Amino acid sequence: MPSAGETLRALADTVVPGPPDDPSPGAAAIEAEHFLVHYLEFVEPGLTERVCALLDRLASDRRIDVGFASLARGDRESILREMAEHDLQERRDIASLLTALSIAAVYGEWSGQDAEGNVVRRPLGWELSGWTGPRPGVRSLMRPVSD
Amino acid sequence: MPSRPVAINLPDVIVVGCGAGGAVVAKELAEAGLGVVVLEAGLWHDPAIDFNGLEWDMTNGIDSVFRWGPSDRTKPPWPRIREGLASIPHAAGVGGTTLLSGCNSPRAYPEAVNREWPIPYAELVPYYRRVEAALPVAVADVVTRKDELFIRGCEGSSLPFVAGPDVVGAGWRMQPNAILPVARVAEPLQYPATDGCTQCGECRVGCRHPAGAPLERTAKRSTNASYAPLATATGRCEIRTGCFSTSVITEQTRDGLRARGVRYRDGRGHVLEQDCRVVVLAGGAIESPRLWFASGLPAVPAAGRYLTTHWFEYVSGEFDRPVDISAGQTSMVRAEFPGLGHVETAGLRPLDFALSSFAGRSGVRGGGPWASRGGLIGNALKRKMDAYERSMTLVAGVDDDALAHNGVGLSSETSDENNPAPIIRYRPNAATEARREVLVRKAAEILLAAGARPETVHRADALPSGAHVHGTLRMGSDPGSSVLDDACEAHLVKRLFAADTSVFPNSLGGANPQLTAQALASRTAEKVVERYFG
Ligand SMILES: Cc1cc2nc3c(=O)[nH]c(=O)nc-3n(C[C@H](O)[C@H](O)[C@H](O)COP(=O)(O)OP(=O)(O)OC[C@H]3O[C@@H](n4cnc5c(N)ncnc54)[C@H](O)[C@@H]3O)c2cc1C
Repeated sequence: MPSAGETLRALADTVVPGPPDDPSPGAAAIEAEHFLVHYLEFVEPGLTERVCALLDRLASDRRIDVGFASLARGDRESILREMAEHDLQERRDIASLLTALSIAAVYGEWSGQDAEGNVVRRPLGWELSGWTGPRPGVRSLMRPVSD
Repeated sequence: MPSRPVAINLPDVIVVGCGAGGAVVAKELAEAGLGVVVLEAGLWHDPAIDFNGLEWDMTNGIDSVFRWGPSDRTKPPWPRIREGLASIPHAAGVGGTTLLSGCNSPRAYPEAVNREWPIPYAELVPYYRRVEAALPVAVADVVTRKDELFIRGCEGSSLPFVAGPDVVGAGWRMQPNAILPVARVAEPLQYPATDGCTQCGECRVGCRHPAGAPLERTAKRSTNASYAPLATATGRCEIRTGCFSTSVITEQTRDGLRARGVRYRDGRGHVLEQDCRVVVLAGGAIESPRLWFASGLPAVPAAGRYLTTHWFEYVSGEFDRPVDISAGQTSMVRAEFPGLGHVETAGLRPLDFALSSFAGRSGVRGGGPWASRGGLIGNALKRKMDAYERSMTLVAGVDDDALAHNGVGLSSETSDENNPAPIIRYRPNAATEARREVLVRKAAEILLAAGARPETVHRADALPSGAHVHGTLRMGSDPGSSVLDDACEAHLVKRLFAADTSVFPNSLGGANPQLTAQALASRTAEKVVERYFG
């Protein structure tokens, strides 16, 4: 079976794909799996291993002896969707946590931060979305000097 | 924070929680001359130091500044068990969930109050006025492009303009916000040259502008910057931060049960007891019933029940020109649909935009004027995010029915260092779902009439969330179906009041809850004085 890093890398890439499946960079370009591991472990130590085991088990239900990371994109997407619609709230919660973390890794500020949390380069998601980042105010939306 | 700390050793009143309602009741009681201690689970942040304008860092539910959890962010959040709710984004800290809120501050729909409350709407009006003046609440005179488009959409879908603040018919109007007036352009963009709202778009990640402003002049009137400083300025109110109330202490008297103090755990983990003459619960619609149960207070039938949430839906669409939805106050225009709920603009940054607009999976079926619906991942999500700067999202909040099966209980398996964890259950009924469908259709029609490209209109299919929670200790005249009387004092526990959204008998018809919680808290302060300190 592949490592947790590979599995979560494939997972994040399923949510926010990059080349060759998508023209612009995605989760893999920023190694979003590190973000996922950090937060899964924060939520519950050992959760990374459990989540990866679950993803691999769901993968091997589809294709014998194949881990999640080796599945084609379409299969990975369907596994995530099935988890999101599962009868068990716990399964749905894991799907939504994984999806939210993958989205947050890319579209939040993490990829632009240094170890102290300072934004030292433009995060990938700001680049992709065209957002210019926090601003102290928007002059065009303030009242004129005299009115 | 705060700049003028005071110590109150023998308080007349203890208020549990310093959010939307708690800060108001504390300020009013202290101004009335009582000694007040507020026990607040979180910290009193300094926006200039603690707020950085970053979405994930400020607002995520796991380790952010505003999460529901211990002040030490290296510790896990406090657990909450959800059944039927996707998330519960509440903040611990002076300001409570108003730290995260857009501070859109409409009054309730009169019809909804008159339908189900033990007091008529007219009785709330003087308290609304009082809070609106104190915060203050106003409509902005410079609106963003998203709000201009929304007005165009309303006019294009033949929705008339309606005058506020008491709304009885459908129509659109300017959003009343608890935000200081928009500032004049000045150089530098810094206090005191700039005084007021700079339209920076940071309402939902913690207001810290204009840069250099003292806490009281930061623009958004979350209670950390408005009522809490007013309360401590009286010299009769002490806000003890990092103090988690674990039980209400009661005693049996000839007249029945009555509250006489609060047990709490302070920031260093010490368990302390504080006596007082009156206790006011203001921990919010999840924590107040949790505290009720953890204190072993009477298991009256309505305790923990009748939770409402406005079961939000998000409808988004793309335009031909930039919209810049992150600019300006979160929402500056709204459409009112008494009997159904409301629709408003939603200023969103990229992460919030992605998570709220495209992360749905409610399972509700049925067509409408949208081209797609439900959760989006993969290439579809990326194309939506490519169009972020040209997109706009509207949020619809429904008038959901207050049902006995929805509410808060205690877990027998999970707990934190304070108490057993709350279990929060929410399952809307068919009538709520039907109203929501009509409302969401109206939101999509507004978006289309505003000029959104039809093939891009997307409905999130959002699961219910706990951003707005009300009920669970509802007020009423019948002790069989309510916990509090019409003064918000517990029917069966004298000297125990509540002053947060838990007291609402229903969902206000779908109107945003903050202002009504505050108006009612201001009224409850008067009732406390009348009944016990007159
Ligand atoms: C993203 C977001 C946007 C929103 N926008 C709006 C808006 O624009 N307009 C609007 O009307 N509403 C809005 N809301 C909802 C609004 O913020 C809440 O309805 C409101 O803050 C609830 O007030 P409250 O007093 O009931 O609880 P809170 O404001 O949550 O305050 C409860 C306080 O009690 C403290 N506490 C809880 N338990 C204990 C305990 N046991 N001991 C000590 N302290 C305790 C908490 O730390 C907290 O500070 C928004 C909510 C969210 C999440």
